[in-house]
Amino acid sequence: MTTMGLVQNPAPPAPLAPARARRTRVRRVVAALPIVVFGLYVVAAIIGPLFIDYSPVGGELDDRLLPPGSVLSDGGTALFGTDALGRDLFGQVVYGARTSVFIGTLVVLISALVGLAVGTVAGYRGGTTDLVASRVIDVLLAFPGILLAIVIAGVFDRSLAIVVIALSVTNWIGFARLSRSMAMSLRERDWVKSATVMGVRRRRIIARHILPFIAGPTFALATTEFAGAILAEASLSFLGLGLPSASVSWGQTIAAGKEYLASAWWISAIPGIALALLVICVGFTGDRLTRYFGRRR
Amino acid sequence: MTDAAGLRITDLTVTYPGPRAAGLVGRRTPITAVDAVSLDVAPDETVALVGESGSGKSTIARAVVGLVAPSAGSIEFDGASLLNLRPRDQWARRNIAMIFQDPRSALNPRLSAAASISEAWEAHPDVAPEGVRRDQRRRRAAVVDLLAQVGLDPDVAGKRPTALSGGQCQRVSIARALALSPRLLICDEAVSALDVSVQAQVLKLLVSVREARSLSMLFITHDLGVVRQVADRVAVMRHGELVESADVHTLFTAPQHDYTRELLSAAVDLDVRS
Ligand SMILES: Nc1ncnc2c1ncn2[C@@H]1O[C@H](COP(=O)(O)OP(=O)(O)OP(=O)(O)O)[C@@H](O)[C@H]1O
Ligand SMILES: [Mg+2]
Repeated sequence: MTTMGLVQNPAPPAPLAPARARRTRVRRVVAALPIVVFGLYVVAAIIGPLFIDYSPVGGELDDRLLPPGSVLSDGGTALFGTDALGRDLFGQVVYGARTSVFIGTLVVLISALVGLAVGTVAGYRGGTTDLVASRVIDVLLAFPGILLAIVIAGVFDRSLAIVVIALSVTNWIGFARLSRSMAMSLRERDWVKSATVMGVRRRRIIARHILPFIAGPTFALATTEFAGAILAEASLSFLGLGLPSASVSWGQTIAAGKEYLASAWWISAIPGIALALLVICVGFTGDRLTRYFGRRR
Repeated sequence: MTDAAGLRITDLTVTYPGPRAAGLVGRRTPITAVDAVSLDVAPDETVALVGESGSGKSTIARAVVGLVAPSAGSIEFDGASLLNLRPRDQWARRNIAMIFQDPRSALNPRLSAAASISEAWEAHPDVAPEGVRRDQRRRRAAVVDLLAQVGLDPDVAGKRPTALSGGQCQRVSIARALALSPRLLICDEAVSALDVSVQAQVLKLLVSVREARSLSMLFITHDLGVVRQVADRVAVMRHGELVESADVHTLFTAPQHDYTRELLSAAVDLDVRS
């Protein structure tokens, strides 16, 4: 009896703790997932093309419209299938990732630099400088960004530079507004005032006492804007206004598949999924960074 | 004009752009924060500036250090005007240092105490101690020396404001203010954000620094008890105007103005209760 009691009695709380630990671990992994996926895209964009020994824009017409997993005439396997010209979609997705990441990075870099410079100087100096900058921003805000990009990209010949410029023309505004409002409030902080009183030069005050506090939130915004730039580039390419047709872009691939949606869904769907997944993951990463820097501010 | 050593403020008027009268498009009604105030601070003299909240005390300090531009009047130090200085002539203000009220926000939270202090020398290499600009070791020695003068240990040099107490931060601010060997120290409520016990220590430090370096001081405060301890002369402000200016003893024993009497009796009430 007593032995039975002993055996039954110990109601071990032990299984509960590992369960909770497992749940927090699962939550942590899920939370880290977008960043990991984003990282994989970047890695694929940088080194992926090194592992592809064929041209993503060359194909055999015999291999046209093959579904994912088919064997090609040259013996290789088309993991993601082929398009209407027999070109391998896997290659296009990987090269497209490179295009997207490259253009997104370039656009965000240019926009962030321009926006940070304009916004910080306007917010810190105030007065006429601020008035002029604010009016320019107001006017640009009146245009939907993608519309302005379409106009610019439509007027000029298709090229990488035009795409980057067309997307940066409105993209910097977000950075300018963020840094302007932060600079305006930082300007009133006592440490900025005491540097002013000590005769520290303006440029140095901005570099040392203002910019370091704007850098974090700007980085978070850059991530969000990166997703937007990738999406916008795909839209331009989809409309035939983006990169020259010799280059590979998800937007072009999606456009190329739109006549085959019923018969060969994979042509549009696979690059579409690649694009959506990247934009979602970058967006989540940006949100987390924003929250992180918001808390620290 | 040139006979006056020290700070001379004459008919200083400062207006702020006030709120707009009617919503978004109405005209701004300017607020006159300081109205034709004349005030001198002689060398070696400590003048206390008292008055109720919003009476324009801080505005005077801001005008003297160039944070706001006056709309009328003049501000001179040793006979040289401090107004309308071109950026490259800002060194003219080097003789004047200011201590702010909030000990924490007066220091950049991302910079170590040493970096905050030595920034003054980067801005004014001509008055920096020998070799601190290039020689790391000399700079550290100079910082440690200044820290010692304000009663702080050398290890404070490497710490950021977040790792320091309010009193320590205020001492670092004082060290930074002393870095350029100013002749006039403006303290705008420099101790009022501190704990009462710390207040007394920092006050003591300010007084001893003043004696050691024969500084003049413009001491802005609400606390009349403090005034009696540190000031030679008191200027009383109300609604942007100077209502009375007298030496401490006279003001406390025989106040001339009704408002001063009101202030004093209010302070006495507080004394009795505490
Ligand atoms: N930046 C500003 N813009 C507009 N009005 C201001 C500004 N700063 C101060 N004022 C106004 O100027 C007046 C004087 O302000 P000031 O800060 O000089 O008062 P103070 O005597 O220092 O008060 P306290 O003892 O509370 O510090 C107040 O009426 C205030 O509302
Ligand atoms: Mg004040």
